[in-house]
Amino acid sequence: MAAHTAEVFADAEYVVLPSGSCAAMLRHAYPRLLESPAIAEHSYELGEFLVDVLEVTELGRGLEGRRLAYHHGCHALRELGVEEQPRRLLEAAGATVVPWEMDQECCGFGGLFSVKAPEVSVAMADRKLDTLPDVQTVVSADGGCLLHMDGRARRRGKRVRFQSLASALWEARNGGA
Amino acid sequence: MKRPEQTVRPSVNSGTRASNEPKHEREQRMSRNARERILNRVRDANRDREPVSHPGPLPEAAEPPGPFGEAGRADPVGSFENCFRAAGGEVVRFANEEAACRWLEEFAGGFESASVCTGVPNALHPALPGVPPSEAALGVSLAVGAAAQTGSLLLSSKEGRRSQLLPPVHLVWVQAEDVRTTLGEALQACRKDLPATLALHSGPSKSADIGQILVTGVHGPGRIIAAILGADGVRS
Amino acid sequence: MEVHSRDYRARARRIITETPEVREAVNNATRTFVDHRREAFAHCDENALSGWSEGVKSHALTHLADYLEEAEARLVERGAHVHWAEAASDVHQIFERIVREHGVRRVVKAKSMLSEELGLNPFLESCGAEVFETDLGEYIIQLLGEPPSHIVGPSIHKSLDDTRVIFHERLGTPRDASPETLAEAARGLLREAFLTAELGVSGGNFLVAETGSIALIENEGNIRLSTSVPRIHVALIGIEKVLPKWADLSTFLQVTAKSATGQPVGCFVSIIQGPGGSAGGEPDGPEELHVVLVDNGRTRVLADPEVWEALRCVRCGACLNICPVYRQTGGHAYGYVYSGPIGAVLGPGLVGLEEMLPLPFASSACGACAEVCPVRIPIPDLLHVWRQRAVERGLTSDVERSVLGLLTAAATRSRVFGWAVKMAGFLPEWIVRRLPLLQEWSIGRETPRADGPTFRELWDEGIE
Repeated sequence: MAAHTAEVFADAEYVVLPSGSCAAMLRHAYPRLLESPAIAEHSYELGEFLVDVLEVTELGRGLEGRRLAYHHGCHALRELGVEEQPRRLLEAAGATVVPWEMDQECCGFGGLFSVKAPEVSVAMADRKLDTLPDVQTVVSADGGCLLHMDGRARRRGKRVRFQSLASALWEARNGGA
Repeated sequence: MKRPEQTVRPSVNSGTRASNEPKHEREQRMSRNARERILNRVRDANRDREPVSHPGPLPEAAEPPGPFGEAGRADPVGSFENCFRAAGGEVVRFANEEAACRWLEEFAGGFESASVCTGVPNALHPALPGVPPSEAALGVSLAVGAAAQTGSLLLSSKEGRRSQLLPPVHLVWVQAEDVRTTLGEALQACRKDLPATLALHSGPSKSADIGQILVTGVHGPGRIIAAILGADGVRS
Repeated sequence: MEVHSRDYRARARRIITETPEVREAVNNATRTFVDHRREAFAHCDENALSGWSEGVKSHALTHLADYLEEAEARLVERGAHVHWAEAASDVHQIFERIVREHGVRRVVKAKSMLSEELGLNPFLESCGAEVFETDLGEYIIQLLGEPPSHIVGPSIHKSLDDTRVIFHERLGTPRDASPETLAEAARGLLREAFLTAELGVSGGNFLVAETGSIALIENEGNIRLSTSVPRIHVALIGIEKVLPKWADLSTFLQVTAKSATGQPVGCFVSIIQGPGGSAGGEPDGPEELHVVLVDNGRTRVLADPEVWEALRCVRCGACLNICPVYRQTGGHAYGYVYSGPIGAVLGPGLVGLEEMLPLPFASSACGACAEVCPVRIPIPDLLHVWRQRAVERGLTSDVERSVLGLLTAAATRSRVFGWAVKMAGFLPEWIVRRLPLLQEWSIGRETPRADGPTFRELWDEGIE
């Protein structure tokens, strides 16, 4: 899969991924799997790309009045060091990012871990949900995290919307959904 | 009865396996063989590995602070006191021996008996009946040093350990000039003449093993008093 | 010591569903350790400390044979007996002789994870000796007949009420006894043991080569007593515990204490060079000191170019405390003396990958452990190494390999993948429940559902 992806994007100047774990895969794991892949040098997570490369933080005020919590996916946070960029983008769009004590704790998705140790994985999602402040939306830069927490929240009947950073920033630019 | 010394050099022969070889000699031979095999495996494991050099002494700027830091260097006794108290220990200071003796007389009044380590000068013995350490209400010892950085008293086993451990209250005399800044310095000062056990006591015995709730005096003394001699200012 | 790691998932499930109070207790304890650790390092140059500590430990390991010989020579000079043990049977033999020759009836033990590895307690009991675990946490689980749940706090999974119950049963304390009363009861009973035991057994946090010093860190004083009062002291030390110089010790004592509990240093540290008593020309202390240098799989790990760094471990438990996976169950789910992140990377090396599966997979690979390790063990990388080896050796399930094979085939064919993603949003739950591996998703979670057009569809239409 790595070889295929590197080939597909061989001529790209930048590869932007709306996913922290995918971006970390390209940047840190590809050099171990492939022979000096150029793609590793210019792969970015979306929030990182906007703020650090394009130097853009103002996308619009479409999130005005929104109270949301931000979940830091582990790969984006610890492997890519993406921490402040998503918050800046969301706040610049008018959202209030509510403090959340457990925002940096792993949600329990972990890829195959979610189906290999499902009980533990779900217990970890519960920890996140049980400590969530009173918000309507949880935003994150990782699809896996979102699917996992959304799946658990719906099973528990907890009414919170799980939204990707890309989607939230789209709303910032084009007005609320 | 003295046991035969363990040989340090690798044995050349694996030894005869005569059926009348005494059991303990056979065990020693097997231990030597185990030694050879272990050391050989260790050497083999490292054979193709890039050796890593020792990074040298920890840079001074990296020495852990806490209540230590700049203040620690300027006032080791004060820093020691802060750290020791923070851990639940008690500290008393005396400008001289006379003041210490006066205090001791009053302090000792609260106890029925004492067990005193051999290194404690006579003047600093409490006037209490001497009993075995396992029966004493108060243990008294003389520290061979102290460290401000960690709030630690350094105690030598040469003076007898039981008095430092068995009585529920432990009084430790220490000279202000022996209070070093870093733990490293305090340990270095003892390097030349190490006793069988050099112990660091940095507060009363405690445990949080019962439902995460802190209790003191679990096995060792629940009360420890550092009595510092030759220190200006009495803070008690 | 038996390994039950194969049952990880079942044990974890039982703990989470049947004993939720364990999860609560572990959560509280580990959160407290994490907070204290953070405070302790707040004003420290953590980077400089971990870099230096990593360097010293790596240096010690790459020069291990020389340092072991040096430590041995220093100890022998002071009159200690030094034994070398490759495995548990060697250690048992050493103890069998000591128990027999000295007529040992009672043993007081300080907490030693290595002694758990070696199955020492059952062996001593089979020799007819009464064994007292003297660390309060170890004593509690000894009464309960349970293995330790955490490297530093063996009984963190037990609440005050649990302790009240067992103490009432075994020591006769009141049903509503305060923690102080419980501690006092244990203290009295164990004090009697200290004063009458012929043999004290300890582990060793560090072995300083330059001086032949064994360093032991604790808060209760039971290690001081176990290594001072009985006539004989046996210290079990893994060969990887070596520190090169006396000057290295002060920093390691502090870094270990800060990482474990957030203290500047443990309440008591014993630094032992040799026997006491008449052997050492001192008023008291053990007449005999035996030091057992133990391999038990450590040379195998040392020889492994991808995993040897795990031997730098100082057993502080910081990785357990921060691990969000460990926090849900505590140590018993892992079925091995070392649990949490370090257990998952050291265990396969010491014992064997096949026995330790699925532990390297019992992790979401979040990376938090690597951030807190005081000797910079790259735990996530080591987990990855073991996972890769598991796949290469054909140790993963056929189901898993098939599912991943399908995923790869789909992911490298753009149109197929696009179709699969679209379908995934409409899959009814009853189908998902029948799919191998993916059916596990339905345990506790709803399946993803479609919420408008997919990104691909938007892209094809021309997003504007």
